[in-house]
Amino acid sequence: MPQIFQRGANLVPLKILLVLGALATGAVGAVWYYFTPEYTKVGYQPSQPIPFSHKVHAGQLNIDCRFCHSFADSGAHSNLPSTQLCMGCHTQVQKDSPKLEPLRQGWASGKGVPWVQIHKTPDHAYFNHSVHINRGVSCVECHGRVDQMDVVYQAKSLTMNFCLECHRAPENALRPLDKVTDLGWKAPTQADELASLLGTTPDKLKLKAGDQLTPGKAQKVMGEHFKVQRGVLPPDSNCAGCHR
Amino acid sequence: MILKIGFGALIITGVAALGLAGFRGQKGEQTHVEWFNDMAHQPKVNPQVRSDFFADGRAERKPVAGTIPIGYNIAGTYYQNDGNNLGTGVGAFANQPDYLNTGRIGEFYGDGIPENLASRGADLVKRGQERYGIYCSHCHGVAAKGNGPVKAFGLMTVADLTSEPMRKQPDGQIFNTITHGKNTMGALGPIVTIEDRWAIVSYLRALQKVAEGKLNVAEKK
Repeated sequence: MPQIFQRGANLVPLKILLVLGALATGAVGAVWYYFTPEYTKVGYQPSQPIPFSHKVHAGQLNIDCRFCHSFADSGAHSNLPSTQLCMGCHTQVQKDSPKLEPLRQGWASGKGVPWVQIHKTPDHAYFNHSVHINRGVSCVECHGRVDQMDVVYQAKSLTMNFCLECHRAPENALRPLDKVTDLGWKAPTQADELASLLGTTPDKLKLKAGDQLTPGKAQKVMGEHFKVQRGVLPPDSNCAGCHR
Repeated sequence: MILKIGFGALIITGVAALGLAGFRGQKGEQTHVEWFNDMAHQPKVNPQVRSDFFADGRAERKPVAGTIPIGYNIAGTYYQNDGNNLGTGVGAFANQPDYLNTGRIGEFYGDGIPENLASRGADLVKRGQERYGIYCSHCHGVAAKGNGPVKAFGLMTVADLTSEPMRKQPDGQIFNTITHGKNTMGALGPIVTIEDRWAIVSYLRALQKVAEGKLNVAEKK
């Protein structure tokens, strides 16, 4: 009678373990990759009732973000514009465009336009727009290059980790207050230019005159300067700073 | 056998998952999948959201008819003190109908920046410069010549703010135009605070002087 278990059967438990191990790793990997706002939220690009193009309004026409989002620098919430503000121009510009029909209806009925909200912070996180803007954190840090988007999508994950990265090192995001809505702006990489922008000399910034800096270094030097100047001290370990 | 089947299955599920779920950062219309919803949605009202509780679908309520916040008057027309709680027409609140709030003295437009603001001096003009850039320059142009980028997109008339009649307008009248709009210009009162409107007026005066050649640009700053 031949043997029921061949010699190779000795390896079977090992092989089963190996396969199970690989499956478990795969499952963990899938959760790591997919079960995060990096996947579930970044790239969210709903279609809106009107194909409003930020690329045209903010990019081409160079309208400041705060013309429409008027209270972003004075309130916690960055508002959508009123229908009245849209109609301020669109009673003349593109006034018969079929694309703007929902706007005209919303204006006539007083119900407004049912825009779809894209960026949301959880209800237990109290993000305040004005605090960030008035200390020189640009819109672009959380919203990406909206001035280049025809249809707006969520560009950053807005996870708590995303917040903390910046709260622990705010110098990476601070810029001159008049450049906050200039989304494409970058710190000058020429040491003298940077110093004159900051109203100081290269020596005081611990740079050599005539030096060429990397963009990252230039931002860091500028950020450190503004951090001290504006007394930026974001909560990075105090939960109550953002959660109530 | 076991290895082949096991790893085969793993590779197939992996490819299938990638095929179905795609990669991070892909653009799409799908609503967010929230795997862990840890109290992210609370039964409270956030700004500018819908609510099915009220018949008109708005979560934010207008004040109850016939009530007025303390310190305000019943509105005949619209002007405000501070904040941005401005409505238009009937039902809006109004503060004292004085020069600061209306740009008028009695029945006439007044001239000059109200005293409590004028004392801010160059700061007020600087604030005006920033605010002019936000609210005005895309139509009227950075130098107020009526040639901003929006003009090319079909606005019929954009006033040249450095023209003779504009220079002769009293401050109060310019303030009033910002508040209520004029001809084809929409009202900006709802989005620009009283202080900022006066700041813009004071900056505009500086621009007009530059256009006249009475002030050079370096001096303005």
